Amino acid sequence: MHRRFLGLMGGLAAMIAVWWALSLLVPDGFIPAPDAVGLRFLVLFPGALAAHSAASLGRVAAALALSILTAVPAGIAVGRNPVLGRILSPILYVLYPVPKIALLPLLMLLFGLGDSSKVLIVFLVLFFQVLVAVRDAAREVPPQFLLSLRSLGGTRRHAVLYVLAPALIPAILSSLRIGTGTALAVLFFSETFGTRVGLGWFVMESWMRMSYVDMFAGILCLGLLGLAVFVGIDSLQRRLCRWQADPASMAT
Amino acid sequence: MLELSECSAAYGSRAALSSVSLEVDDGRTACVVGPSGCGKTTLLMLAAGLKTPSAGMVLFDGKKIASGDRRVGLILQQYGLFPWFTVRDNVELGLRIRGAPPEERHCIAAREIARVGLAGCESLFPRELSGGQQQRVGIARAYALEPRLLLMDEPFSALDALSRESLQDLLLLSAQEREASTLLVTHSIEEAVYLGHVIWVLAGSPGRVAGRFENPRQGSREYRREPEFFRLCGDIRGLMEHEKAQ
Repeated sequence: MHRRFLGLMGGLAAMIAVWWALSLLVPDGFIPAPDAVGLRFLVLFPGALAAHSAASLGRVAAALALSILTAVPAGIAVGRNPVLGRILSPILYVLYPVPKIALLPLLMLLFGLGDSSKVLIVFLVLFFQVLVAVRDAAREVPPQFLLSLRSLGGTRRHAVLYVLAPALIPAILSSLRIGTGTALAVLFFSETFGTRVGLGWFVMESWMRMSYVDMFAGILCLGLLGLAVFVGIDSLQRRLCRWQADPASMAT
Repeated sequence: MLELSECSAAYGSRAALSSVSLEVDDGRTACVVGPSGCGKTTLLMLAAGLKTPSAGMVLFDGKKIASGDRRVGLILQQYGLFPWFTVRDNVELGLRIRGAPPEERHCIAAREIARVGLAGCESLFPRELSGGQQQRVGIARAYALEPRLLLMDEPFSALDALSRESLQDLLLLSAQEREASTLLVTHSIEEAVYLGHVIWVLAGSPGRVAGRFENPRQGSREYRREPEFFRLCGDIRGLMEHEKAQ
């Protein structure tokens, strides 16, 4: 714990030092100094920024929940059923690399400019990430586990509940961790359309006003939002994967 | 009584067993010994109802064995325990699947865990246990369901010599204390002779029964050091070498 805390502090100090150097080197105040941004953040956060963060976090959380609820069962089906796997894997390989952001105009046409199209675009990014990870992990569950379960009288439902779900949790969480970076980028972009709440809107609006300090306070807030999601995933992993040799990850 | 009559089995086009007949009498331990690849594990899968024979029949007390048969418990060499469950949850799992109420589950699990000498380890995960301790949990889990027949696939082959002997002693004692019969598959002749009332030798590929040995002196811990023990081991080894040479 102590060591992890020291590591976190060291990393933060290095980041602030680089930021500070850049703020001095880049002319015209395009990059405001960390202390100015920090102060602005403290002023803005209790009011406007908190509301924007809550809106963005709500969208990410909805997309995370939706992707787990759909991609996990789908991944188990594709991974454990050879026929489904053969039929669906090629389709998956065509759809997976398509940049999901390219679908944003279509989603906005179909679902409007509101929250649903924003949640859906983030969901699409996460869905494929989780689906592929779950499919691969589901294929590799040692058959001995399933034999043992059947010998204890377990049915297919028990196999999902007591073998597949616990065996897949590490893969699900690490795919979420990988997907969250892209998901936040896509969320940011989608929030520049048709909304006046969300960190994406806040950052772009500050930029239009040429208020670089506000803009960076928004960016800082985005970073912290990402950190919050990662810390959440890591603490879930620590709680759910105590059975693993080294469940703690590096992020916190 | 477990009866396999003229059972054959195959994986796709590859035959694994060819017309194998053997039986395990009530309350007795039968050991199947044979080289790798002779279909020993397949034989257990048939007895557990987890694989259907391509020919022949598997009967227990005259009735066909089915997948997940309540009368049968199975202990595998590795991966038998679920690493994501604690010792207690592993032992309780079969009872939970059968819908036993929580108090009953806890009570049975505590009793079985204590019987294999692991009281106090209930909350540990399998990775925190030694190989021998893990296999003890496997034994506790199988006995928790009070099976009439216990099937074991190379249960001790991954253990060091001392742990293996102490687990063999535990199994010998358990088999004497309980009413269940046991079918144990192993590649170790000494293990088969120490534990089995009857020893079946499997040979060839696809596997078939090459011989059957009665082992009347089985049942005491001293047997391991007696001349009869070594004589029987020698006889079985002779048969196996003869089969291998053909």
